Amino acid sequence: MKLLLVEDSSRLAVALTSSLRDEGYAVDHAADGRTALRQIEIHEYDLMILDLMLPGVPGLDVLRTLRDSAAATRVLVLSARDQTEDRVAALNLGADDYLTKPFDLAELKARVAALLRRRYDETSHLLSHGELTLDTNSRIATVHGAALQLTPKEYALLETLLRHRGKSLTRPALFERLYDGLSEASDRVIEVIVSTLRLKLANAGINGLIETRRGFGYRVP
Amino acid sequence: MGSSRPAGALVIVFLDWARRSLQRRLLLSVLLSVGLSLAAFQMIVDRLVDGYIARSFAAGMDPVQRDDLLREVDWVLLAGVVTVLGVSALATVLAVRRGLQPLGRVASAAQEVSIERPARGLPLTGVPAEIQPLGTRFNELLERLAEALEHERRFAASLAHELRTPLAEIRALGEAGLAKQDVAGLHEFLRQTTAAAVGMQGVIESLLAVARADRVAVQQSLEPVAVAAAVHSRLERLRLTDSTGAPIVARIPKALWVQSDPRLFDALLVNLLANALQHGETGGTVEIDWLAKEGAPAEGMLRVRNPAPRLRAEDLPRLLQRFDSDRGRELLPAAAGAGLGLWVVGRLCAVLGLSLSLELDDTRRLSVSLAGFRAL
Repeated sequence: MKLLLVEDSSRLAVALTSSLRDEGYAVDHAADGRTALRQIEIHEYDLMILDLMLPGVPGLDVLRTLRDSAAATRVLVLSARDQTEDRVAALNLGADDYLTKPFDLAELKARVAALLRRRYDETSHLLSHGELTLDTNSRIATVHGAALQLTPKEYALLETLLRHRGKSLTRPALFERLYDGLSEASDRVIEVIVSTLRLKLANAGINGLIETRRGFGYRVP
Repeated sequence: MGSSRPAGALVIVFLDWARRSLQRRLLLSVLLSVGLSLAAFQMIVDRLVDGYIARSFAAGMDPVQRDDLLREVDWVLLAGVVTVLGVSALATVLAVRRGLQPLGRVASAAQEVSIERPARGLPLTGVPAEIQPLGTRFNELLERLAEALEHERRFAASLAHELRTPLAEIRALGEAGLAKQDVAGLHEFLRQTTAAAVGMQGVIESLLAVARADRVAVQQSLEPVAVAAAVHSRLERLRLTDSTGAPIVARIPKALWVQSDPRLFDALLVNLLANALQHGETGGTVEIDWLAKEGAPAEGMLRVRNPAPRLRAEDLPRLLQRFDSDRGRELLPAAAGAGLGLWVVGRLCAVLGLSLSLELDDTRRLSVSLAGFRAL
């Protein structure tokens, strides 16, 4: 899942990007409105965490531009502005959720997970395929009820493939979804992750879940 | 007909003239009551005298009849005096009550003025001229009180808003730091948390300094302050929490002393320098200069310059209004080169009797100049 954090407080950005990356999300950071506008032109984000009081272009203008572009990106507004009219303005402009600073990090993560479920029209926080179940809230994968020891990237790749079940996703497309703009890794890292993931799934008794389609990428049927 | 119109107009003008003043109104009322009383008294006496003369000269009157007549005259005169006094008192009471009616309305309105609704002024329509200035002044004071309360409300809201971000930083850094397994990562989070806490402390201390600063008391307690030593001491402390690593050049004569309030001067420096360090672009040099006035070396200006490439010239007037207007608060986010610091600097300058000016040059460097210092 690819997230864009638009926040001018560098300290808050450090805390949030670190925490969300630990969860396996690919997080890009924009410190001002103009950078955010450039980022949403280049990348397709699943979710944007947006501060309203930004240097350059205000947060509401970023939101308006995003909605005008008809992108399916979910938007969680994270602002120190706590007045009802601020919430109403943001929600009317197309924000999907609004959280006031200071906030509980666990609550932020829960809201992010909930918005991502809505992004893919899911009603439950559980993604299932046969005996495999992914809890998108706790970000834990289980087989027959036993937890799989997956790294955040392995979990993110499995979640992405399950969310796009039946579709083939190329290596660059998966890399784009799993890694943020600052990453120095090449998209070949996807092959490594798929390999270790397959091994862990096989050890849990699940074989052939991830198919390789030459020239098309990977898919879960 | 022709002469009644000017006469009627004259009466209206006269009544209007009399109505405008409480003194005139009361005087006119008393004159009217006395006039009416005298007229009534005159009528009674006339009737009595006429009857007495008529009866005395009509036929021969024996002494008993004359005594009865005189007793009757005494009683009627007494009744007349009592009636006149009663009418006079009633007329005066009614006139005074009517004259004081506008004051009654003012008193009722004054009772409705409350701390929640101070802007509700007194109704001054029809109020006598003597009371009018008092009412006008009172309404002005109420208006100022309402403005002050509105300012306090906005200040409290802005303060709460200003503290939300550092509080969110501290909380998020703490919660994210707890998940860190490596010592280096944890150390970095603790460093950032400390810096956020120091920043929050700075916000609170600056606002307290502004709240406590009293211009008159400050002007009476000025004392010599060593500028270079104060700047270097403050810079050393700021460096402990500064993560920008921006180079700083201070060009201040070591022997420079100015007359100021040491506590407020330090608060001034904290906000001025922290603003330049935090909101200046990383890597750009922060310059601190003392500029003596040409031809008057005892007068000088302290100037701090920092790069502010994201700042626009049209933003300058709003930089000092962060807390004074909703617009300033909304349009100037913390990292726009115009944090709370400049607002505090502006308020402290006003207390210290200094003039503050902002300038954005062609190379996009923001100069904050404090003029009005007197070197010792």
